[in-house]
Amino acid sequence: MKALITSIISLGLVIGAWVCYYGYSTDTLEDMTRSCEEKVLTAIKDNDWKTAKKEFEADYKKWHKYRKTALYFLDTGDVNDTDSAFARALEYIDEEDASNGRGEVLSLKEQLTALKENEQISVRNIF
Amino acid sequence: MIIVCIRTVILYAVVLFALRLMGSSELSKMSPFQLVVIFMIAELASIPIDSPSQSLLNGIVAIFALMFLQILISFLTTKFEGIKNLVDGTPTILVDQGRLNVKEMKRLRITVNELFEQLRIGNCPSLFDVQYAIMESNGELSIITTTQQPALPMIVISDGVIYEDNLSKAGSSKEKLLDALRIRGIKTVSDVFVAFYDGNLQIHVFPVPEKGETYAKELI
Repeated sequence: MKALITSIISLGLVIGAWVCYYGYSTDTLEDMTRSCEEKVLTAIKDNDWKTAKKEFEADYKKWHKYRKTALYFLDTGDVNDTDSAFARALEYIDEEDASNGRGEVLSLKEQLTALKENEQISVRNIF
Repeated sequence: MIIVCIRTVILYAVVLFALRLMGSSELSKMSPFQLVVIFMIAELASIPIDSPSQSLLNGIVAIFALMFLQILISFLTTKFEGIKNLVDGTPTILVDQGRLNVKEMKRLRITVNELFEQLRIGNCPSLFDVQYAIMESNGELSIITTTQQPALPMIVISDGVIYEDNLSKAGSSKEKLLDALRIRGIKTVSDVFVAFYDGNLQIHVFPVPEKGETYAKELI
């Protein structure tokens, strides 16, 4: 009985940590995805580079904060790829390069969506 | 490289913790089921060591999940005979008082040569030396020779659960069993840790030890 209770507690602690991370992760990634789509991409389309840079830098800051926790739960490769995507997109926005900037932000949006979806409990992820 | 070393140390501690918690196998060798779990744990532990980009927590949660399932299944097998039979299988009598159980041999895909080989290994070269030969759930063949006991010992109560199959094999009934318990002052089956009929068809009853006591003593 003691062994069973200890195993339940051990598993519970690790899964509990994941549950807490999952809630935080879903909200943060959704925020960043929405911001990319609604604010950054719209600003780039309207050639409003000041707004695009301001919004994107805010998302980048949010990403840096999120990254510190995500590294415990996600594949380092995926996190590093998203890091690189952020850096590239920021550079394109700085250079006011509309087509590359838009493409890179769209790609980043898909990466953030994939990060979120890969952690969801779904039949697709299980199989 | 040092990261790999640190991960190895962490996973070593996790695997050690999991194996210690799962405990040693019942009384002898590990069952095939336990062996599979051990191999899976080893494989799961090696993945985060080999791939530093993989999250260490993913490996740990997989090991803990296996550990939890193994302990849960072992716990349930002590409480429910059905689960025990499903997970561990049931011992099968292949030789019963000099008679070969052909049906069971076919079901277990054991040939006559294999059976006789095992009998020889067990120091019984002749079938007529064997009273009972039982294929245990871990794949070993137990041999009870004719010089030993007239009947096969049978556990009829374990952890408060009556094994009705074994009861009928021992030539007894639930009423006789309950009478035997009543004579010994036991009111309910759940107060019995183990009860079995020995080779001379005598019943032996061991009640659940009192709180603080380690040993279960036979009630005569």
